[in-house]
Amino acid sequence: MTPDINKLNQNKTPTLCSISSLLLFPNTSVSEGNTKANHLFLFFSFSQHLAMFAEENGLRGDPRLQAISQAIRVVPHFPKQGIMFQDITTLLLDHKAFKDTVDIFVDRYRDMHISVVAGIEARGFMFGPAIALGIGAKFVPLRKPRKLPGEVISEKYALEYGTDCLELHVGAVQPGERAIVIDDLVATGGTLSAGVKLLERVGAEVVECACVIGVPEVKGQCRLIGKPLYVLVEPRQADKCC
Amino acid sequence: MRVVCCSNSSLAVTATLPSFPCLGPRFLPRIAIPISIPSSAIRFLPLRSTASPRQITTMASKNAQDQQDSRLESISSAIRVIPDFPKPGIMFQDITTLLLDTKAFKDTIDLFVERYRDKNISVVAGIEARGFIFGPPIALAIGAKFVPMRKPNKLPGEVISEEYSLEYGTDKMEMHVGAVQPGDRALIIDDLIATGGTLGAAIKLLERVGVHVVECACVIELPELKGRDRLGDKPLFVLVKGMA
Repeated sequence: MTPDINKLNQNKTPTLCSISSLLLFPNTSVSEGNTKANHLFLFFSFSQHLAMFAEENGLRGDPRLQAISQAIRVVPHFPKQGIMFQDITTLLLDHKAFKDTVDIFVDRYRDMHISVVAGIEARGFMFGPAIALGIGAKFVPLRKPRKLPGEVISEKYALEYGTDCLELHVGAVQPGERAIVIDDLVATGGTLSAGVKLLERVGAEVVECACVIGVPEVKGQCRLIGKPLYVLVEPRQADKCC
Repeated sequence: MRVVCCSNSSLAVTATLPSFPCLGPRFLPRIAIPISIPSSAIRFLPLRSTASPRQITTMASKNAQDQQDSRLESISSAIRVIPDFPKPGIMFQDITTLLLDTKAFKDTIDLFVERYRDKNISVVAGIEARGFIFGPPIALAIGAKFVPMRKPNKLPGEVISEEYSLEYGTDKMEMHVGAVQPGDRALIIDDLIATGGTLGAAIKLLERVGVHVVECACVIELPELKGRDRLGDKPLFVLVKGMA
């Protein structure tokens, strides 16, 4: 069962884990102890395999998630036959749902001492900067080749047919910085994985990857990304009406 | 009073290479002037208030003006210039360093939000891809929809297209059918205006579906390239000006 981080962090009653962490880290409050305990729990549990869907992680029954899911349009057979494309542009037209999307991520990351939000071109750019501004972090674009001027490092990743490449500016991120990687949707995890590798190559600590939409299969594929993954909603199969 | 806005003719950009502001030397700042120029009038926004009989008003406006100046100054300083990108002779204005400066990035968004929050803007249209970085935070803050204006074949579903010319050849911009409604009041955002071709295409796309384009807004203008001339009668608001 995936740990319910948000609920645990709010819990002011000391748990066995938090008492242990209080022994390890004296001079912390009980709720701080709970937070540290959760981080320890995550670390020692197979954190790199954790795919957390918001509904199962502190936001069960949250009406915002339903509205966010409904605001996403499904376009069948794009970019090719058989693919049910999850179109977030309709979410961006729904001011409240868009704001709620950003708020959920900001609420999650604001106290995690994140100094870098890395967004994957181009739809990661639509969510990442607002989250970065909300938590006081830098925004770093991870771009397709030859878009970033100046010195970059590159990471190749596999597509269904062929390969693609992501680039990061040299000097944008310092060693030791805590980062999250944002994209609109995660399917195979290839793009996120490339983003994680780029950040780790410059010495950053990638705390988590976050996406608005995640296919249920990611629960079994987190090993590829190697980092915890936080997702708001699953893809829908088709729009109901006309 | 009508006064021609001051230009930054006295500046030379010494772009010593490219280091992020926190690590290396800063290049010469451009003059940062928020300018809104409808075609019919040129309004001058003084950088410093001079003494006037009404001291209290002057003090208030001076303080507000000073605050504005220091925000613009730090925004200008946070933008990095990369020579000869994407090709020799071009001084590329790199806003990614602005995004690394949390205060300057926030100030950038705040300056736009302060300008547009009371203008009943219902749509912020952002131009791919750097317009996607500035547009959504502005849209969220002023309660507007965000509409991405994209390169061809990126948007799923039904789109309308507008072709525009490049230095060599043409390109196309697309917008979703149904994203905006006739009567919507729109703001178009991009990081920079150069020749104005891209912004001009965005204006046409929106007007074709009955939207009223209130203004175009960019972080940076390259005035030598006269991009304003391609915007028709639409006003342009920019935070800083750079050398082409």
